[in-house]
Formats: sequence, C-alpha cells, structure tokens
Amino acid sequence: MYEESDCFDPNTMQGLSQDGFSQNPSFSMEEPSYQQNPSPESAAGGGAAATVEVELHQQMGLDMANMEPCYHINNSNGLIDSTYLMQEIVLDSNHILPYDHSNWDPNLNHNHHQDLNHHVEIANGHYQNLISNNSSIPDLLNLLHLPTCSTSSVLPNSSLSFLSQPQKSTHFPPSFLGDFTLNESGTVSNLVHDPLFHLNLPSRPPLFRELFQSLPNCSFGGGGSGGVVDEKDGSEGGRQFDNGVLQFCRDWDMNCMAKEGNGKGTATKHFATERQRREHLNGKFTALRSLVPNPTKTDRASIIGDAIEYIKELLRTVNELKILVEKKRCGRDRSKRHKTEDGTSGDLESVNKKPNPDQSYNGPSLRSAWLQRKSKDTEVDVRIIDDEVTIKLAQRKKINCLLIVSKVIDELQLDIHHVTGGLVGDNYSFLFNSKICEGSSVYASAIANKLIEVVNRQYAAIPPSTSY
Amino acid sequence: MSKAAIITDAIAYIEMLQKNVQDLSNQLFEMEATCEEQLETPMDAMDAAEEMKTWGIEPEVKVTQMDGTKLWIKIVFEKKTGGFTKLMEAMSVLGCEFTDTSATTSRGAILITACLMLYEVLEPY
Repeated sequence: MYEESDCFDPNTMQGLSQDGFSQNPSFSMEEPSYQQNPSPESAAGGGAAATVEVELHQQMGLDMANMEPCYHINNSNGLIDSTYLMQEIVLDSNHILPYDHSNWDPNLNHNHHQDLNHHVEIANGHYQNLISNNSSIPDLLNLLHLPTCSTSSVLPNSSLSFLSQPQKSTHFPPSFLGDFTLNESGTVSNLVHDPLFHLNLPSRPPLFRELFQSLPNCSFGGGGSGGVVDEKDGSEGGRQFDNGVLQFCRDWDMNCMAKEGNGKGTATKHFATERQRREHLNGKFTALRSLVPNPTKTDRASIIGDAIEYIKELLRTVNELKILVEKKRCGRDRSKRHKTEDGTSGDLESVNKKPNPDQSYNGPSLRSAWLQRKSKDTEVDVRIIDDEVTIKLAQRKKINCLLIVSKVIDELQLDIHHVTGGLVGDNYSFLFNSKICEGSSVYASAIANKLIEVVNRQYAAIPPSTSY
Repeated sequence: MSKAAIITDAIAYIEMLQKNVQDLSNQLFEMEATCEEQLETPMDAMDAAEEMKTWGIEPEVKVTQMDGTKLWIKIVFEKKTGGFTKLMEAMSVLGCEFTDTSATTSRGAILITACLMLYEVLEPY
C-alpha cells in the first residue's frame, strides 16, 4: 500500500491545511520532522481547544543516545501552543523505543515551556522559530516531513504525541503512528495522523484507522504503548508501521484536561509539577532501597544494581526452599509408607536407612543457594550446593568469634569438615566447609541470618576494650 | 516501559518474592515440627574410626612453642560431628585462643593446625 520514497512531495503538504492531514512521503531528510496542526483546522473547531499533534522527528544526525525528548505542541484556540513535550528516544533499530511515560505528564505545563523550548533549541535550533510562529508552519511543514495530524473539533484538549525513532544510519523513514486522541467518551476522534510519511496518498482518516488498527500493539482506542517494531524493515506494504518504533503516548494535558482516564487502564499519575514527579520517582527509589538487605550506596545505579542482585538471590532462595519442602514431604511420605507397608518394606527400609533422600532429587534439581549478608562489622557469605555448605565469614577484629561460630554451625546441624582462617590485617576471616547433617533442612538465609545475629550479639556483649 | 513503572514493578516483585520465601520457610518449619524423627544415621562416627584405621592414621597431638605466648599446635583425631567445636571449647577453657586455624577432614580424621595465643599463663604440665 504505502511505499517509502525518498522524495518529498510538497504538494501533499498543501492539502494539510485543508483537511488537516498532511502526507509526508519523504523520510530522507536529515532534519527533524515537525508536525503541526494547521491553525485553520483548530480555528474551525471553534472554541474548542484543539490540540496539535506535533511530531518532532529527531534529526538523523543527532546523537540518538542523547535522548532528545519529543515535542508536543498544544494548540489551543488556533494558537500554536508553546507547550512542547519532547519524548525521549532511544535509538537502536532493533530495540523498543522506550515510552517514557514520566516525561509526558508534567510537560504539558506551560511552565515547562521554557525547558522544552530549550530542548528544542538543543535539538534543532530552528524549531524555536517555527514553533512560535504560526505562519511558519507551512515552511516548517515543507522542511519537515512528518505527517501532520488534524485535530477533531470534537476533541478536547487531549493531545497525543508520538515517539518517533529516527534511523541512525539509514534513511529509512521512521514511521509514525498516528494516534487518535480520545474525546471524553473515549471514542477515537477524527484525529488522524499519518503514520507513514512515505505515503503518497492523501491521507484519509479511514485509511489511517486501518493502518492504526493493523498495528500490532496499538489499539484504536488510543493505545498507550505503541508497538515495538522493527524499523529496518520498511518496505512491506501493509506493515509500514513495523518500520521504526511506533510508540505513541497519550499525553495528558494536566492543565486542561480533567482526570479523564485514557481508557487504557494504566494508572494515571497526575503530577502538577515536574518536581512532584521527580519526588515521586525518588520516593520509589528509596522504597526499593529499603527492601534490599544490603544497601551499599545511595545512588540510583547502585540501588538498581543491589535490587537486581537481591531479586536473583530471592529467586534462588525460593527454589531452594521448594526443593527442601519437596524433599521433606517425600521423605516423610516415604517413612510413612515404610511404617504402613511391612510386607514390602524391605526395599523401603533400606532406602530409608540409607542417608540418601537426596538421590532422588539430585537428578532433576541440584539444590543450590548463594547469598550474602552484611552487617556493620560482619560479612557472611553462604553457599549451598547439594548438601555441602560453604560459609565465609569476615569480621572486624574485635573478638575472635571462631568458637561461637563453630557452636552455631553445630546447632544448625552442619557437620564441619574444614575450617581455615585467622587474622588478616584488621579482620578475622574464616572459611567453613560443612555438610548438612541428615534430616536437617536448613536453608541458606537461615544460616546467614543466624550467624549475623550471633556475631552481632557477641559484639554487643563484649566490651570494645578487649582486643588482641 | 517508563522508569517509574519499572521501579514500581521491581518493588512489587521483590515483595512478592519475599512473601514466597516467608511462606515456604514457614511451611518448612511446620513440616519440621510435625515430622517424625527420621532415621538417624550415626554411621559417620563408625566410619570415621574405621577409615582412620584403614589408612593408618593415628591420633596425635604436637605442640611447639613459637615465642612468648604463642604456641603452634597440630592435632589429628577421629572426626566426629561437632568434634571441632568441642576442641575449641576445651581450648578456650584452657585460656587459649586460636589465632590462625586450619582444620581439614580427610579419611575419617581431622587435622587441625593452629596458632594458639595464650592469654592466660598456664602452668606447664
């Protein structure tokens, strides 16, 4: 249906102002595309505030890694609003364009206009002029090859913007998905965006709707997240939007719109200010940090890193515990069976007598666990493979906990096979290799926690004056 | 996904996993409590002594004085569950503290080499 072409057909741009659609067949420009609703359209809408869908096509030459936000322009009452929303674009042809939701909400605020303008300038200096001037829209349209969208007069102030993922290396046209803004009732408005620049056909709302519908992940009702598409592959007719990342996000105009749902079910966070949004995000980071047991640093990257490690550890622990429960249950069942079946208990007996309840479990699942715990003065590393437990203990030199720790290990029904360690610099460091005694079902976190607890207690008990 | 959504999901996932761990441990604990005693396997002790004999390992104790309050000690004895701890306790009663320790189990015997620090003057005996 649609074909890409490298040529820009200016004629199609003319039609933009009339029907609100602009076909922009050309992709190959190096400059960001800019899509704007022609003012007559909105003016025709009467008093209804029309929103202009602006698609800012990131400049090819721009460094994609810089995450330029998209600009979204709100056009109210025929004036091109100065509010822009720039969507961050992560460029990688095979990656999903991240839909940075957080950038959306507060950015409609007029207060952020300055920031956004600044961004625009960074991105493309000439945008500033274009945006601010209605009359330059046609020029802009000529320059930019983004499809324009028209806003329905019925449409409230909701506005949509898309993420476009410009191609870094090729002239492949990023396809924009035209999103349809929802009116109050949630139905799709007539706002149609031509997702395909390369379309030489005059866009018609029904056509776009078709395209839109055929988008894999986009729903007509104003899908929240666009489909992730392989942007390299653009030549298929019906799958145009597969090229480039289609991400469109619903833009809540915080100032204008009431808390109308976007109909997509995503929990809409409405932040009045960018600051609130930041604070909310920071609060989340703090909450995450509070969940992990060994927080090291307070910077975001460390928090995320610790969280990743902790999640892996939790998964290991869950697996370990499941295996233990299974073992226990089977062992118990077996012993019950043994008691009730006297006749045929010969084999069972021998099986029971043999300390090998592990045997039946070693095949499918080898029990393994590994976790670390740190306290102020102590570090514990517990590794379990099958029935062997390796404990590494490092403690600040205050007291020699070897005896205490050995006792605890015995209490945990671990049979110490190997111990080594001593004073290393400022720390006492020990390594214990032990075997789990039969019938015991200790698990890694229990061992670690108990050790930490005991050592801490010891530290608390001994006055700090004694030291060797 | 947005950053905030990722963080939110991570928080929820961690909490869910923690809850799972807690439930499983409780379940395990209950099972342990209600479970009857499994057949004990005291084979280890017997095996250890037999092994030692098989390999010709004799229990021994060697002590050397290094300097003022430091001793170097080497002990070989039959491996028993909890044997190491008992030894440690005994030494601490005597007023010694293990500074550097190495304990290895092999062939039913356990070899302990350690530096002992005396913090009490012992009557030589």
